[in-house]
Amino acid sequence: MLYLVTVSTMVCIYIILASGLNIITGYAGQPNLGHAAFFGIGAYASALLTTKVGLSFWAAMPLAVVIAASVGFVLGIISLRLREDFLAITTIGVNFVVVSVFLYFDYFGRALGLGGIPRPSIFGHVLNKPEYLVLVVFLVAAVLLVCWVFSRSRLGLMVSAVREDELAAHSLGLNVTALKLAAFVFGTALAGLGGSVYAHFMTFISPYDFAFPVSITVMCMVVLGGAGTFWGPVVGAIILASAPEIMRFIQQYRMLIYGGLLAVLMIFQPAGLLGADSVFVRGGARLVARVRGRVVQSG
Amino acid sequence: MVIQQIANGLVLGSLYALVALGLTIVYGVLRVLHVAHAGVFVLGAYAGLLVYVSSGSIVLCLAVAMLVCGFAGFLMYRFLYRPVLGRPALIPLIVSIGTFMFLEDLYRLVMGPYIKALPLKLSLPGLDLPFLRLTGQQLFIVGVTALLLLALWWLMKGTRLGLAWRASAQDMETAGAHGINTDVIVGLCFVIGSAIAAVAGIMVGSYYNQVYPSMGSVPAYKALAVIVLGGLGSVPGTVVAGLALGLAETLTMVWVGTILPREAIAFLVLILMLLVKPTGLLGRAS
Amino acid sequence: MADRLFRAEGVTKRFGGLTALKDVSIEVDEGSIFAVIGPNGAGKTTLFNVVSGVYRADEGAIWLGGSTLHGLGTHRIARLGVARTFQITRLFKQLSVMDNVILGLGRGDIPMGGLIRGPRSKEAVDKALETLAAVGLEKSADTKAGTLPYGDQRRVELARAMAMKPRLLLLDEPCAGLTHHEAVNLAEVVRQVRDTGVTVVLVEHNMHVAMGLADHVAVLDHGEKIAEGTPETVQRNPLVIEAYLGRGESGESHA
Repeated sequence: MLYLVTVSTMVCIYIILASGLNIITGYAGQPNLGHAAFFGIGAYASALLTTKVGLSFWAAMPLAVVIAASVGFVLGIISLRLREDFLAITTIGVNFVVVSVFLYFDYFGRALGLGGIPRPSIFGHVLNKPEYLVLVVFLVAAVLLVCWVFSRSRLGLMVSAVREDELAAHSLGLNVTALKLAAFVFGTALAGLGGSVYAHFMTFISPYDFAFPVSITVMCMVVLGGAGTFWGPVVGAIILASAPEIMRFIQQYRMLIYGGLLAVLMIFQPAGLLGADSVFVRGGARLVARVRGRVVQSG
Repeated sequence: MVIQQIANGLVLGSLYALVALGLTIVYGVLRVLHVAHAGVFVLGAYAGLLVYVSSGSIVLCLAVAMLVCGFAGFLMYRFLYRPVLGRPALIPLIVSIGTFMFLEDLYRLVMGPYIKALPLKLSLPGLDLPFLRLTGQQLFIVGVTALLLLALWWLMKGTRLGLAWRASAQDMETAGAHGINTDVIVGLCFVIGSAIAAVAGIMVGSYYNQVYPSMGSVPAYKALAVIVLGGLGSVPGTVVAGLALGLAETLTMVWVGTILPREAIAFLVLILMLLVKPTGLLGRAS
Repeated sequence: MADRLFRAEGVTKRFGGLTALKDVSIEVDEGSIFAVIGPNGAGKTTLFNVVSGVYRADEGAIWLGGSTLHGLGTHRIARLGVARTFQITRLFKQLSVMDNVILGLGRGDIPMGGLIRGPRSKEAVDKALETLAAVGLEKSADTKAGTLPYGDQRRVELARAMAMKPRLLLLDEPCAGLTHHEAVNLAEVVRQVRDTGVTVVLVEHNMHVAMGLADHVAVLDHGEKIAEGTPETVQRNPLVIEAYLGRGESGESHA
């Protein structure tokens, strides 16, 4: 039972992370291969604010989000100057540098990481794991609501226009700079939220929890589900975060499968399971059309 | 002392340059950041190890590793990159990263997770001066790097292949329209770059006397930093950047101590440099 | 005498050692169609890119009505009422035709509160459909823009620019890549746009299209303006005949 709670909480955290990355890479089309860095910044910020500064979870969490988003803002400014492939390398670099900072400064606990991170409490009652999961589910619902509004908003459409063609977006009067920055801030803020939630769930964090392979895992989720779609990252996170738990034998071959899957998907199905050109979506559309056709014929 | 450290830095830098050279050749024609190159590098180390252990011949070990890796490089081009050519730059990059992670795990499963020794027995004399000591192995590394660079330089400047490579690097379509079989050129680039990676793998493996499945993960991304610093697609730029990085790392280790691990230094330098000059160290504005 | 809507004075643009535009001045009357013609490489597209803010002129002044455009960013110039199309159509290919046009509405200048609202308000959809109807594409509103035939893509791009309700509309070779039939249709649409009061400046390689449409023509060659006037006078100008028409056949061949 407790095991199921743990897996479910991790799935929720990955949904938050993947939804955030989807804003940056899926909607705005900006490569970010260092998403785990912002996940880590959120986690370390929240952990330090509670253990060393003495804030409560409820105060530390929003601050952690703001701190991660601020660093994301800086990365966004850098991104404005760089070509797509240079930016991709830079984001990888950010991931390595951030993990190194966690590893090499006493303040961040070095390789041992930080422990003793408190679970949040409500009216003096400290939440246990299942209760915490309820809280996390509410947070995920809130995140998804915000993402849903974004994906159907004018802002979402404008950000997608930037992804499709920057110069054309400019020529329509769209402020491409502001839109890109907005996407980076929004996406990394969600990563920070995921980090905070993770830190207070595990109560113990270490630098390797936020290393480059985690960025790849999250990217895998977004790409598998379908970048730039609302449900894609959710589906991707659920599949990839729960599969190794359901099929234990996978655990051994985790990176083999993730890596291979990522490469094969990108070659044969770059739109992902729920993307526009996906075999599933096309198949579904064909099915709907056929059913409709029958209804028309019989009617 | 200073001269000794500079020499050590240059030996390390030669290794970086060797690993990054293949990436540069590939980037030059395809504009693809070939992260999986590091997977070929590890393959070279393992192939060399197996051949050396069973035969004891350094020449055979190098030759077989270069052949195996050259073939592997060709397969990668044919089945991984060619299908995604012309798509946004991010797609081949992700394909490449995915492939690299796949390979790393594959090596772990096939060869085991443990560190294996690669003690190449070189009957080379070392250099022993009052102010400078280099082992025979260090000299070997610098010598092989120089030899490969010369060979590459000749290939680029003195042969029809080099001319075709430069033409394709400038403009693939125009080169194709003038009768250059760009598919073959790109394939050859992968073969040559991968063969160099095999040598690099054996050199690194024997230098540290360690061959293990994840030995490519740091070079994979550090080599990216090197080729970006070198201006992407520029062979001399890559060599300069590799040597400079080797020097910078060695000298900061000595004088400043370990503030940050080496990987972080490479990327910090890279990020700062890109902020000042977004087109790369020796790159021209597009 | 109609009012001058647009003026460029002594515009010079250099790329390294190459002078792409040299001291070019043009004045465009409000409500007219102005064509800039010239052989390939004459600097026509460079002129557009300078006017719309993609490049910054090294020398010279550019005015729209009473405000200067010189040194402003692309999206600021767009918000002042300069819309453009591109030589090679630049649609948001993965977005629907409707969304492409909706993005043009309001010239990108949307109040903060409007950002989180859905883009498809009744008002926006009506306006977009109306604009699409003007180019004859209202039936394709829900199609993904990238899947349309090229001629239709050009019309979507024109509709997207028109949705901005621009004061000045820049068309970069609007008929390039179109069949004769499509080109005639497009020319008619451009005339209708002019009749709604929009000032049009178009760059054309194809002399016949430009001469048939424009009220006023300027001729560029090697970055310099060599002639200007009504289509009739320009056609008779010996300089133009030498620079352009004289090698018309070879000019056409590398179009």
